[in-house]
Amino acid sequence: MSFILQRASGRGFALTQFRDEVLRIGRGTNAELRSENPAVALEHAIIEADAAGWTIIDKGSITGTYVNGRPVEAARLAKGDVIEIGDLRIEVQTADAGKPMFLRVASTDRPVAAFVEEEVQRKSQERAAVRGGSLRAPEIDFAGAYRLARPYFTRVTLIAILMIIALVAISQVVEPDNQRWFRPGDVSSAHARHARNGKPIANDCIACHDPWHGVNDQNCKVCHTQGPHAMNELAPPGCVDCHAEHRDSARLSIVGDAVCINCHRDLTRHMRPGTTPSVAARVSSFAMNHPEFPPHVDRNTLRFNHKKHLQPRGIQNATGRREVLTCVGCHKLVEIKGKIDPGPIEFEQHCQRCHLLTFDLRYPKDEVPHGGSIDLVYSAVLTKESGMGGIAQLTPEARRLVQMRAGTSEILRSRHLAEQVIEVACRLCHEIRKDGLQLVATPPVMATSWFDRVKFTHTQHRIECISCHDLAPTSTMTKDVLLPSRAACTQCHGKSETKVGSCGSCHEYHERTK
Amino acid sequence: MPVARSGILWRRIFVLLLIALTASYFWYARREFPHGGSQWGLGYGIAGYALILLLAFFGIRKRWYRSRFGTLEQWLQSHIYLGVLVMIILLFHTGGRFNDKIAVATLLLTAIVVLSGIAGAVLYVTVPRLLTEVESNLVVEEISEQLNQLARQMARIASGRSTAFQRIYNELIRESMPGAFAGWRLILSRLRRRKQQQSRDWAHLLGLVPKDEQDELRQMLVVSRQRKELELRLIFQQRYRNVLEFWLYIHVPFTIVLLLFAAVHIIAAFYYGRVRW
Repeated sequence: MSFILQRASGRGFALTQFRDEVLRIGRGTNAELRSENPAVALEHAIIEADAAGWTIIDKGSITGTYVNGRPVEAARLAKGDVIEIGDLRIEVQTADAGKPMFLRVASTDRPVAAFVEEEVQRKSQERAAVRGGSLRAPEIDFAGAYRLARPYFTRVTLIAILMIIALVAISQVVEPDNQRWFRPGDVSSAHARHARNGKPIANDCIACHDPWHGVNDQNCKVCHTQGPHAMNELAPPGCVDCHAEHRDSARLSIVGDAVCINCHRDLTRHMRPGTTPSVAARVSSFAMNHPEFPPHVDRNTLRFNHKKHLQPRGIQNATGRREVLTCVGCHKLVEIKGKIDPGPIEFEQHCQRCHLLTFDLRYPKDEVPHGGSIDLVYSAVLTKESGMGGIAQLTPEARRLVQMRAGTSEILRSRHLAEQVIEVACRLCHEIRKDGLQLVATPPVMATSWFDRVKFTHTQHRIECISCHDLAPTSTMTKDVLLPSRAACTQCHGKSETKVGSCGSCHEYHERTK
Repeated sequence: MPVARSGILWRRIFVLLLIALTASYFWYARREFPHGGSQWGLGYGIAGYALILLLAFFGIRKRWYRSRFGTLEQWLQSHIYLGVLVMIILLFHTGGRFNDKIAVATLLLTAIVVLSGIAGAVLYVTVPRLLTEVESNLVVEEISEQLNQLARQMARIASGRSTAFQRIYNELIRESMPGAFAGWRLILSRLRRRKQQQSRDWAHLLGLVPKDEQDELRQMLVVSRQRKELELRLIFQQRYRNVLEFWLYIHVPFTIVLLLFAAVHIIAAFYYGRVRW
């Protein structure tokens, strides 16, 4: 099929023929019938032939395709039809089926919509005068309506709204009773339990914090009295430098080793000028360069042989049978004020079961008293010999009267027996010396602590005694102080993987708070 | 997509800073209890706040046309990468502790700002391509004028017609009204080009008017359909533009509120003596 276009130009009419099945009308460069007018879409409409004739089809244009003044999507063309597209006015000269189509094209200054509007407006005014009223279409700013910014809802107004909400919230938070909103962590259990000035410390920031100056040590000392750590300490740290609150720790008194090592790594830098440390100058770790425990000598006069008593095959007791002794058999762990440590050795409780103080085979169940004045031994034997019992419960004056009443032979015999038991039984453990006519035993002095700057308790050391006191099974002399070596302690203390504290386990910085 | 040279530079700076900061944090956390008031914690906090101020300054630099202080491209690239970095620095500042409610609120605001910024950066990469697929030869304002023109045409066709005819006209006009906050609803709505069911709908509508008005009604329906197509084209264009603009409604206002909360947090740190001076 072909199309013949007659187009008006400056020199008259121009004829153009297209041999194609389809005539494209539009603003695009591929259109056979082109117009530069912006009201014409790039691909506005097409005219195509079929067996029945010619059809114009609108290709979805914005401004529409009009045939004889009516907007169409698709329309059959006949001779005399006027097609209006944008500024193009196309008159159909011939539209016979099977024959070329002849079109006369003219351009107008105004888009076709304007022609149509004038015609429709004229007709609508005629109708409005006859039937229903005239209608007016609303003028809508679609572009503005679909934008985000609204007259009263822009970014600035949103900022203002959010700022108002924020300022209201902040004004509530800065109230004195709402200061918990600034708390960086819970307080320790002790501070949580106690109150000051009728207010729980946990809810009263000012109890510890001076506004703009932080935690003041004086606020701590209202409740906590303490002694100095060392007289020559230069610039002692503040309370919070070691006991930091708000870290969800139950006990503030537990201080990490790093705090101590901070100064003791090089003690000379933290002492007053001209002073020297009385302890090791450089300690950075218990396991590494902590001083060895100083050697101790037990000057106790009491004689005791651990090796004999701890023989694996046992030791003969008073009945002649072998009995295997254990450490805790004598060093029983007792609880004193919440701490568990070996109680004092008592002869009656721990030793007398084997070390009988009998003085005469005639009296196998009678023993001389232990402890107190040596007079009691003489008196006890004399009482037995003279047939008077219970002398140990008598006052010294009463005992003297008893002795005066006894006969000479009884006195001599009892003296002999007393000296015998002293020489045989007492001397086994005690230092015996002559004091005038009597033998006397030097009272023993049992040391309870070997370190004056160290606190130690067996409470948490639930391990075998030999693990730490490894010298006990081989000790034969009283002077042996069977303290564990530092190496034995470092099995647990000083190793990061065991997480057992080092410094604070044994040492105290200052006196315990009252 | 080719990356700007300044983008490559700032990406490298970001990676180096991230590695250095992470290494420093792990070293610090092993030495002492990490928290905002420690020396290192304060260092992170100061660095973070300085960065926030610098990042906020981008809004001013963007509008300071005469400034020679770095190119706008460099400012944009640094804004993106340092914006992500500030979130990491502030997390290091907290030391993993989130008890102070005001501090936590400040951190949350920072997270909102940073995440909205990341969203914006992603949108600026993806949306313009989608926009070109729906853009037509007419801009939004021109389409709006065309829509009003077609509405006037419909009004003139319907003028003087029967009540039923004019009722149909009013309904067609009402259907195309944008409604309140139409632009905001566009962001969330799922737009589809509905298949035209015009034949069934039109048959029903044509049956409502007298026979002598059916031709005119058909004309008006054709114009109305063209108008709807045009409006849909406007909506598709404007929706992508709204998406490109929407994230700034979160990013900028929350930045201002963040600055306020950060100031309160800093003042509180001095008030309670967590920072000693």
